[in-house]
Amino acid sequence: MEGSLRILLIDDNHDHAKILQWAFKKTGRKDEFTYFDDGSSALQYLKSANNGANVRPDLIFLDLNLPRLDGREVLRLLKSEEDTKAIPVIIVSSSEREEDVRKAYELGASSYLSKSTLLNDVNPVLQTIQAYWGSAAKLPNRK
Amino acid sequence: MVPMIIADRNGQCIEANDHAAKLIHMRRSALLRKQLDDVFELPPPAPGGSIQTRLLGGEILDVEVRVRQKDASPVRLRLRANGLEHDLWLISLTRIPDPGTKAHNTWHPSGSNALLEEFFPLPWGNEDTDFEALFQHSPYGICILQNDRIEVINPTFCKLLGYRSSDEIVGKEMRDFLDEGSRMFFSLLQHRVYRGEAVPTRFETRMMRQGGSTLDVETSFAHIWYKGAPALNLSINDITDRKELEKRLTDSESLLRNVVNSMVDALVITDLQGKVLDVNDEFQRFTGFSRREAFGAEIPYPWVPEEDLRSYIGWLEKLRENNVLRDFDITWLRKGGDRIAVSLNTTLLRNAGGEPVLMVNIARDISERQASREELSRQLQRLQVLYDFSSALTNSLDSGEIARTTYQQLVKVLPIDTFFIDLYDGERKEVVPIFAVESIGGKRLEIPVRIAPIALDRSLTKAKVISSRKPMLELRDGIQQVLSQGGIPAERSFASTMTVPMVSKQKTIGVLSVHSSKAKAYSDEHLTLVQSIAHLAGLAIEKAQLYQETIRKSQEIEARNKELDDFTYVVSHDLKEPLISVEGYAKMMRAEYQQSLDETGREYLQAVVDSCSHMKRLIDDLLLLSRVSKVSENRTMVSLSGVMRDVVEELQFSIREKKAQIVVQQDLPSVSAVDTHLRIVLRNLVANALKFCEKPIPRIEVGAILTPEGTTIFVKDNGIGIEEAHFEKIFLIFQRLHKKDEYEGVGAGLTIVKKIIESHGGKIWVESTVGQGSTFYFTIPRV
Repeated sequence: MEGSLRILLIDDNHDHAKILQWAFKKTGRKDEFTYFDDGSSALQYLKSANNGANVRPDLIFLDLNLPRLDGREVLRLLKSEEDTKAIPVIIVSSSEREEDVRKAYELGASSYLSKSTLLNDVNPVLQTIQAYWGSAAKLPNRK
Repeated sequence: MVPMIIADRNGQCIEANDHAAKLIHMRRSALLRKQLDDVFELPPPAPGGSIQTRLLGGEILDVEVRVRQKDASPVRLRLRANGLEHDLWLISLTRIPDPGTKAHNTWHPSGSNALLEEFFPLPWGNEDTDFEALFQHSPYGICILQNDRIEVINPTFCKLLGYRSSDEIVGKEMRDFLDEGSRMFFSLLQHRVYRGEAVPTRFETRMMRQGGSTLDVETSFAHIWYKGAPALNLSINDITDRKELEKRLTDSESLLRNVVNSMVDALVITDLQGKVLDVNDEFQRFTGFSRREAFGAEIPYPWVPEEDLRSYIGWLEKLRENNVLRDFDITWLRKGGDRIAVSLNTTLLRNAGGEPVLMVNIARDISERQASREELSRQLQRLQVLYDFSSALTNSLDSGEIARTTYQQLVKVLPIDTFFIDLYDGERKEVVPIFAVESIGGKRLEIPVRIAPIALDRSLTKAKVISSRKPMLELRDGIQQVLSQGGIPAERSFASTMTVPMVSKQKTIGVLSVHSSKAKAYSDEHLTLVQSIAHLAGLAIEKAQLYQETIRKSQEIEARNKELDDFTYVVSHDLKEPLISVEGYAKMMRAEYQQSLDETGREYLQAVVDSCSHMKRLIDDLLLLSRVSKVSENRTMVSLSGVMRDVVEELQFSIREKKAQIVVQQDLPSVSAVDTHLRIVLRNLVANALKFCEKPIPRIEVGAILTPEGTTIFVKDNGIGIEEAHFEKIFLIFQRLHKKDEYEGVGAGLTIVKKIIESHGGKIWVESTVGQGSTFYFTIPRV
C-alpha cells in the first residue's frame, strides 16, 4: 500500500503505539511517525513546529486516556490554537463508550477509531485513511 | 216578751202569744177565735165603732182600750196594729201603767210601725221614727248587748240566725250564738270597746244558726247607753256569698298561683313601662333574685346584662305592634354573675276594653339546649379538623411537613402557646425534636429544631407519656418550674398542658405536646381531639418515614448499581488495554516469526490469539452490560416485526447452516423500547435457540401476546431444554450450563437480556422441558 503521511501519535501505552506503527509499516506504507506518550510534550513539539523547528504533521492520532493532561484536554487545546486547529485529529481509543465518542466529535475530532477495530484488521482502515487523508482531503500546507 | 195577737180581717183573733194571754188574764186557748171587740172595749170618748171596723177601715190602730173582764179590774192597754200580708193584722199590746207608777219603759213605740215595734221593740224613744224604720227594715242584723245578754234584736238579726221569733234570742247570751272559733276574739273586742279602746270598724265573725249551721257575718260594734247602762250596739251583715266568692276567688287565684309557680319557665309580669309587678318561683330559682328583690324593678333590670339591654328594649318596642313575641334568645345574669342562655316569649295582656295593661315575659332556660348546640358545633368543628387534617396528610411524605400540618390544624381549635412534636427512638431511648412552635412576644413562631437526638430524661412528662402510651392532661393553678439535674429547666411548665403519645402498631413513635399559659385552657374533650390528631399524625409520620427509608434504600441501590456499572466498565476497559497489546504482539509474532516456530509453536500462538478474541468478547459483553441501564431513557415505538426481520437477516448464516425453521408471527405489534436494546434481546434469544438445539430441523417460533399491562413476547424452540433447577441460574452472568467446547459463548447473553428487559420495566422467565424445548417469555410494559 502506497502512501506517506506525517503522523503525530500520542498514546501512553507504548505497546499500542509500537503495534500500531508496526501494523502501518507492515502494509508497506511509508508514513512518518512522531510519537509522544503524553499530551504536554506533544503540544510542546507542535509549538516548536510552528516556529519552524519541527515539521508540522498531516494527521494526529490521539488516545483519550492519557496521564496528567487528558486526551480530551489535549484535543481541546489543539482545536483552540490558531496554528494547530487545522490539523485533523483522529481519536484512537480502546473505549467504545458512546459519550466518549460524542464528546470527541464535539471537541473537534475528525474521526474516532476503536483500537480493537483498528488493530484487529488494520488494512481496511488504512485504505480509508489513505484514500481520504492521503489523497482526497486537502490538508493545510506543511511548513 | 211582747204580747201579741194576730187577727184576721174580720177582727177574729187567730193567734196570740202567751204574753198577750197573760196580760189580759185569759188563757191563750180562750183568746183564740174570739172577736177583738169581745175582748177589748174602746173607751167612751172614742166616737163609737168596733175595733174590727176600725181595722177594716184601714186605719192604723193606735188606741187605748180596756179589757172586757167580769171578775177583774179593768186593764188599760195600748193596742197597736200593723197590716201584714193576706189581710192579717199584727196587733201588739202594751199595758198602760197606772198614773203615779214610774214608767219602766222610757220609750214607747208609736206610729205606723207600732205593731212591729211590739215584736221587735225599738231601743230608743218612739219619737225618732226615722231610726225606727231603719232599725226595723235594715238589711243588717242589729242587736243590743248588755252584759253579754242580748237585749234587743231587729227582724233581720232574727232571720239571719234562722229563728222565727225574737223571744228565742232575746235574753240569751251572745256567746250562745257564736261559733266557737269566734268567741274569744269577739269577747276580746267587746272588752276593748267597753274600755274605750280602738277596735276594727268591721270584722268577720262566724255565728251559729238555728239547727247548728254556721253563718259568716261582718260585724261592727258601737258603744251605746241602753237603759242608763253601757251597752253594745252590734250590727251584722251576712257575708256568706262574699265569703263564698272570696273562697272561690282565693281558690282560683291560688290555683293560678300554683300553676304559675309550677311552671318550668321563669315568669315576669310587668306594667307597660316594664316595672316588675310579679315573678314566679322559677324566676327566683332561675335568676337567684327573690320576689321581693324583683318586685318594682325597672329597666335596666339587674338580670339583663348591659350589652343586651339595647336589644332587649328593642324587643319590647316590637311588642307594641305584636301581641306576642316569640323565641328571643338573650343572656340573663344570675345574681352571682353567672350567665344563662334564655329564650324569651313576651305577651301583651289587654283589658276587656282592649287597652294593653300588662306585659308577661316567659323566659326559658336554654343553657342546656345552647350547650348541646355548642357541643354539636364543637363536634362538627372537631370532625372538620380531623377531616381537613387527614386530607392535608394524604399527600405529605415529609415528617416535618406533617408536624407543621398537625400544628396548623390544632391551632384552629385550641389555644396554643407552644407546640412540640418529638420523634422517639425506642431502641436508643432518644427523642428527636422535629417541630416546635414558641410564643415569642405574643406571636407564635415556628422555631428551628435541633435534629440531634436527645437522651430521654425519665423525669419528664414526655417520658411518662412515652412509656405509658397514655395521654396526659395537666392543669396547674400556678406555674412551677420543673428542674432536671443540674438545675437547668428541662421542661417548662404551663398552666395547661396536653402531652399525647403518637402510637403506631403498638409502638410509640413520638410524642406531641401542646401548652397554654392560660389556666384550664384544655378539657378532656380537647385531649380526645388531640389524641385523634396525634394518632393520625403518628401514622402519617410513620408512613413518611417508611417512604423516606424506601427512597433512601432505592437510591442507595441505584448508587450501588451505578458504582457497580462504573466499576465493571473501568475494569473491562482496563482489562481491554493489555489484551489489545497481547493480541497485537501475538499477531506481530505470527506475522514476523511464523517461520521460526514449529507446528506446536504456531498452535500455541494461535491459542493465544483465540483466547484473546474470546476474552475480548467477554469484555465487550461486560461493557455492554454495564451500559444497558444508562440509556434506557431513549425509548421509542419499535416495530417487533422490523426487529425480527433484521435479526433473521443477521443470523441468516447460522439459520441456513442449522437448517432451522423460523416462524415469526404475522403483524407483530410495536412496543415502547430502546431500539438497539430490543435487537440485542431478540438476537440473543433466537441465537440461543439456534445454538442449543440438536434436532435435525430446529424450529423457532416468535410471537407476542397483548396484555393489559403491555406486550408479552415469546421465543419458543424445540431445543435441548433446561432443567427447572436452572431456570434462575441461566440469567446469572458467566453461568454456563455446558462445557465450553459443547456450546460456544461466554455466558453473558441472558444476563444482558435480563438487564435490558428489567431496565424497560419488564420481566423475563423461561418455561422448559428437557429434551423438548424451551420458551422464553419477556414483557415490555406500556409507558
